[in-house]
Amino acid sequence: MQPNIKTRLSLPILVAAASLPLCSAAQDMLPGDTVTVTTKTNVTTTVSGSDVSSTTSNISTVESKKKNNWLSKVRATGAIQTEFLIPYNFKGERTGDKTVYEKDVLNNTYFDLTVNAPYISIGARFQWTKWPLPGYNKGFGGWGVPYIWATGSYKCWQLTVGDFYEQFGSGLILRTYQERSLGVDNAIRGGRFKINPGGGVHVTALAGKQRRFWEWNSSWLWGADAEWELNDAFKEKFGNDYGLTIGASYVGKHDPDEQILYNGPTDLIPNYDPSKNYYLNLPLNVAAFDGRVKLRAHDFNFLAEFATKSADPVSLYNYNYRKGNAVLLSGTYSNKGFSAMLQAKRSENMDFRSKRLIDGDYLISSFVNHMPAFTMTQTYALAAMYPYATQSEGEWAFQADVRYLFKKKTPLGGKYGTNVRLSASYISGLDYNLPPGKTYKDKVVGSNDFGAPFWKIGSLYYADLNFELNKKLSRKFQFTLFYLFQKYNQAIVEQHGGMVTSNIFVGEGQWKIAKKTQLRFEAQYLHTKQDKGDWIAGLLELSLAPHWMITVSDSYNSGKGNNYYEVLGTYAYKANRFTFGYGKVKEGFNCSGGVCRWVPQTEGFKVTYNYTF
Amino acid sequence: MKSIYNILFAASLCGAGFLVSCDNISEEDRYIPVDKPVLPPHSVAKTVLVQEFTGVQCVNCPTGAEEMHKAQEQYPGQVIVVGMHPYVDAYTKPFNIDMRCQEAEVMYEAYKPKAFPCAVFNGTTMSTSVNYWLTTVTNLVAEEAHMTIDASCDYDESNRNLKVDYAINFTSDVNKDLSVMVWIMENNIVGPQLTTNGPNPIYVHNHILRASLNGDWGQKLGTSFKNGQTIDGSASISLYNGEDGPLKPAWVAENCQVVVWVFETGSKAVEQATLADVIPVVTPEPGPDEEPGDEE
Repeated sequence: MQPNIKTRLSLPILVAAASLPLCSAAQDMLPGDTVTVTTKTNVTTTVSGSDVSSTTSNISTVESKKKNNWLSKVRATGAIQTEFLIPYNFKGERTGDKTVYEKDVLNNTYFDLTVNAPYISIGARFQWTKWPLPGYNKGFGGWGVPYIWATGSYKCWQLTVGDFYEQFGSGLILRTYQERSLGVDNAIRGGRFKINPGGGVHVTALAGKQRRFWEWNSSWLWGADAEWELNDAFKEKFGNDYGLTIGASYVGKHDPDEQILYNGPTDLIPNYDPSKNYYLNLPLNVAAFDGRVKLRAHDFNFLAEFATKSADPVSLYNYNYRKGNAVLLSGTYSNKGFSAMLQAKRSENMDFRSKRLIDGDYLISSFVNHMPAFTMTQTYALAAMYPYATQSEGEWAFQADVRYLFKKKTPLGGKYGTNVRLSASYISGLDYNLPPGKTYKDKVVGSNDFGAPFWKIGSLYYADLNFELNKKLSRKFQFTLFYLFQKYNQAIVEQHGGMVTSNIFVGEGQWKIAKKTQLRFEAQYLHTKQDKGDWIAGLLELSLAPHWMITVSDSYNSGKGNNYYEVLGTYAYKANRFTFGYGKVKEGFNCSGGVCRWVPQTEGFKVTYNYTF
Repeated sequence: MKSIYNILFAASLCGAGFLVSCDNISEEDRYIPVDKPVLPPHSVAKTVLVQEFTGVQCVNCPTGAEEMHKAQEQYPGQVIVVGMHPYVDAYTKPFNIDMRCQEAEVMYEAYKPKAFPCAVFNGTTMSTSVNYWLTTVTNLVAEEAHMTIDASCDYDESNRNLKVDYAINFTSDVNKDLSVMVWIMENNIVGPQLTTNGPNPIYVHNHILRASLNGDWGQKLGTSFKNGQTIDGSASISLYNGEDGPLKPAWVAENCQVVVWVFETGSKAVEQATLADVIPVVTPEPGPDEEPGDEE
């Protein structure tokens, strides 16, 4: 018997209602929040008879002043982002036939508007992606106002009704966010309550349903997060050099029941009847917990976080009933001219979504949590050729990063100093307890297959070694040298091919030709014997301050003889930015934070416009 | 004092969320028996046509093929699978046998699957969730058709010419714009295939689409049909004999089958499909002591 969801959700609301007038007036005072008004209001409850009119008059004056004061503090902010592609003369790598686009002009447009006032903020987003740019998931096409919200704040309270983004801790059990380049928007529509009662305590509670493109998944989500900054509560004991924060989160999910046919071995079914079909008995309620400790000591910061999730069978992972867990450890050191970071993560069965059946056309949707990718974010075109996508089914990930500044007027620093950076990532699968001849993909539907010893590391998914040197030679010229060694398990990340080993070399220079004229250039070379073979790429970017920028770039694949070029012009005026040009973009993965979208090869005219106010 | 109340309130707010428990379902309780889908009496079953986008470079595609095999075993004669190898290098770039064809490319352009393997059921339901395919087939096998299709092959081994005759018999009135498509596919092609376990050099590829006998999108049948009406037709092809070299070996007639399917022209929704061997398998006559239908 499943507990009634309405009963569960009402509990925090009742508790909240019973405790409402608690925050002290001194906390989180907002503009326009004056004690005078409160006092006058109290007077009206005590006066009587002939005094009423004069008191009322007095109050209306104050209220009028307050109103004027409040109105004068109302501010509207917003942003427009629009991108057009007019596909032209497409010649794919497949058979050379022309790809048929839905329309002659493809466009993604977003218009955000927020109105802020004392005590209240409201906002909405208009989205036009009816005929979106190529490569987005099928459900992405549409238009409307999918994001609308209102937030009321009073002293230490904040209540949001409508759509909102939220993250608990590092996001291991809850992170909702928008990433337009991927088409990801998993905002929750519902209610969120935040309170900062003082003493370094921050509490958030929320409930709602999650957006999936132009629909809202039928699963209910709710959860709470509490964080306590002990250094705030006990300032004298900790002083300025130490900090300690502890946090805990919970996220619950209630899925509707579904009929998923069992397709595994029949000998697993007790009292099997061959005349019957068998459906899976799915858990309707899934719970996830997260606990974390953050410690700061002088220049060191440490984070230890653990998350666990109850059985949550989903289509992507063979409707496996195994529980999930994740551990994240991170240590950083930062001082003048030197910084270092070392982190490790182990996750198993942590794909947490508000929909059980995730199909190829909806692959990057419905994420409740986010498992960060422990790889360096690459900005150079060829270095970003093989980006790693987090494997939420299970992985071990390690990342290290060291940066050092050779000071000015030293042998290696020279006149202006020299920056060097060395970083490395190593990501592998788990070493599963597998029967002979099986892979971890062979999990039997409805089973607890397969466990993996905690400390054992499985086969390599991804590894890289990055070295970057940045040097300013003169007031007019600086350069960057970058080297990347990469091993990329294409069979794991893209489900085809094998291990791709590549060496990438990049040289970048910035030359200030005149006071308002600057030229930036890049030369890149990727060498690999696998996949599509070698690539070379170049870029020239001429900046004519303050308004103009012209960019010409080209990537050439020696393996296939394909050429990908782009010519772009950018005009900026105040808060307006207008880009136009023509280009041919190669197919490949576009990734952000370990989440990837496949972008097909495109060619055509591009126009983008951005404006903020 | 108020601060303490606030903290207590915050704790209770947070704690309220933690009161919820999760469902733990033991391994013995994970299977719910239900009756298998059955057609209403005197109705015609619709054969499920599955276009499976697959490729030799696709490590998860053997799992998809295995799942479709399960569906065919569970619903014998009610599921036809056709393997599509379009020109998508990432998934179908050949090792030593090229199984790609232009007709598969046409289907790829029509459905634009985001990932392989991908199955299109009855021309309308597309899925990359392999573990949901059997559920999808189960939901479709109980659908009623409005026609039957009889198909027969006449193969001349001397010149490798194949003629396919088909008859579409309507069992109820149909007012739809319909077309008929005739495909030839080949089984038992042994060649390399990437799998999650690494390369398998002797993987057996089945039901590979080889060609269409009547164009990219078949022939139009009309828009209005009466109960009892029969439409006869035929299509022919000369079986490819390997003239393009070792990467494209000749088709083996004994391994080839023909798929005839009727679909709604606009939506591509499959109305009915049938399968016929290019060289029909001769079933031995039952012996004098053997009753027809006896099985070991």
